[in-house]
Formats: sequence, C-alpha cells, structure tokens
Amino acid sequence: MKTFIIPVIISIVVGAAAAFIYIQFSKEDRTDVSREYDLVPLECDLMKKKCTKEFNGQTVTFDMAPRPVEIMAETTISLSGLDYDFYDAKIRIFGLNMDMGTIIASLEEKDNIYITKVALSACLVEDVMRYRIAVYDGNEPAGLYIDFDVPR
Amino acid sequence: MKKQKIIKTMVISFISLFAAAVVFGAIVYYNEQNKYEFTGQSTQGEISLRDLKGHNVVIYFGYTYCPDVCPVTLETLSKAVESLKEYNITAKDLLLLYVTLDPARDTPEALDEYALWFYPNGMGIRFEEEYLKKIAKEYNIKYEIFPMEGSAVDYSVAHSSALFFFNKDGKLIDRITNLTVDNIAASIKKVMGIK
Repeated sequence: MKTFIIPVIISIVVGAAAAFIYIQFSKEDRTDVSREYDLVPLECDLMKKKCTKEFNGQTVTFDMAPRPVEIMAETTISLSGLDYDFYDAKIRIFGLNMDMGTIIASLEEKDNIYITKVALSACLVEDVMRYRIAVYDGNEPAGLYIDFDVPR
Repeated sequence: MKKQKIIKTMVISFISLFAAAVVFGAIVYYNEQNKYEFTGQSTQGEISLRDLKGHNVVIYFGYTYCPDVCPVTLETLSKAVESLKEYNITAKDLLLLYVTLDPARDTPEALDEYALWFYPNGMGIRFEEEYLKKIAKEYNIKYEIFPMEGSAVDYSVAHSSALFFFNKDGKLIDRITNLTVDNIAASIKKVMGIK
C-alpha cells in the first residue's frame, strides 16, 4: 500500500505546485502603460497615405479610412496584395510606446482584399501614440506588420 | 515475478501521472472560474460579482473625469443595445458595472451618475487602491496616472479599454477590445445565448 500511496501523494503535490506556478506566470504582472520605445520617424505615414510592405516576395498595401484616424471612431483597415493561406485571419493592434492592451479584429476577405473595422479605443496622454498593426493567423503572428502614429 | 513488478510500476506511474494532471487541471479551472470575482463599494453597499447572479452583466473600467474614451464607449454600448431591438433586448437585460480606475476622486454616487448619464442601467463600483491593482491584474487592465500641469483636473488616468460580458450564472462569456457597435452587439447576443 505504501508503495502506491507515496507516489500518488507526491504527484498530487507536484500537480498542485505546477498549477500555482502556471497561474502565477500566466498572469500579466504590470498594470502601468508606459513603455520605453524610441519613436524613430516612420518610413511611410499610414495616417496620411497608403503604405506598402514587402512580405514573402509580395507587395502588401495597407490602407485606412477615413483619414485622419480618430480615437474611438470606426475605422476600416484594408490589406491588398496579400496571398496567404489563413485558417483564421486576424489583426492585432497595440501601442508600442504605451501599452493600452491589444485590439483583436477578424479580417474578412473580399475580392482579394482583407478588410476589418476597428475602433481605436485608447486614452491618450502622450503627444503621439505609435500603434502597430500585426497580421495573425489565429494566435500565430504571420510576420507582417506596419506601424503608424496617432497624435493626441 | 519480474513481469509483475514492471506491471505494478507502470500502474502506479499511470495513476500518479493521472492524479497530477487532475489536480493541475482542477486548480487551473477553479482559478479561471473565480479570478474575475470581486467585492467593491456601490451606492447599495458592498457588492460582489456573485451577488449579481441572475443578471447579465457588462463591466467597464474607467473613471468619472474621463473625457473621451469612456463616454464614447458607454454611448457605443447603448447604441449596440438599441441595435438589438428586434430581439426584444433592452438595457434592462444588461447591467453595466462602471468600475473606477481613479478611486482617489470617484465615489460610488458620482460613478452611478456618470454611468447612468450614458447608459440607462448602470451602477458604479469602487475599490480601494491596492485591491484595484489586484483586480486590474486579473482582468488584464492597464492604467496609469499622468499629471496634467496647468489643467483643472490635475491628472489624467491613461487606461486600456475593454468590455467584459458575464452571463446570469456569473460566467465570463466574452472579453472584447474592438469596441465597435457591431462587435459589442455580437457579444451581447452571445451572452444572452442568441445565435
């Protein structure tokens, strides 16, 4: 009996310890928003015009409407020229110089253009907030992204 | 004899692994089910999320001096509810809890007034600062105070913007950060079990 009970008790303790460690490490530790980030000038300003990015030998064009983008107003983001075999096409939008959380939106494909509507809902206190739009397939980054600045 | 020993070792190993997996899963599941629970101050006294079982609840973290993102979010929530008239859904079917990220300035009375200004079925919740930090971590809400020199409000609270939808059993059904009317309406339908 001893040879049976001791390993099971040890396993229960190990399982409990692993669960507590998992819970602690999976929890976001920071609640502040400021992040160290060098705001080097952007090569293309998506707030002013369409921008292109090279991706897997393709030229992908990012566009937003209406322009200029306003915080909390519905904005359409589109990607054209992207040939990618998605099973769950999404974009994630997050701040680089301020962490205000991540906006996740599904992309819909229509006539080879991926489109989504988002509301950039961050409360701005810096003069400029630099956002990144990153393309994801489910929870995996596709490796395609573009940055843009929203002035306060 | 040797074969029997091997079988015994295998059985014990299997049961031990199974026990570890069950304990791990049970603790993680229990934590996931209870991590959003809180007790805060409201105009009706202390209130917990579990006290609101029987109500569909949406939670938003903001503050009453919030000049832009909070009013627009609450208005968008109202519009989303209005867009669901065809399903006979009204604001009475979804209680808004407006949780302050600025407990130093906000009172439950001021929070109620603010929430009700934008949404007809709202209630304010206030936590003490240390407890707010703990709850913000559980909800993955970011916030930070920024001094506003020369401004009448002294400081602003930069914060992330998300809506958390709980059903009548107090279970988190959806958490959304893309706060468009259509997206919010889709979450309301989800929380009410409408396909």
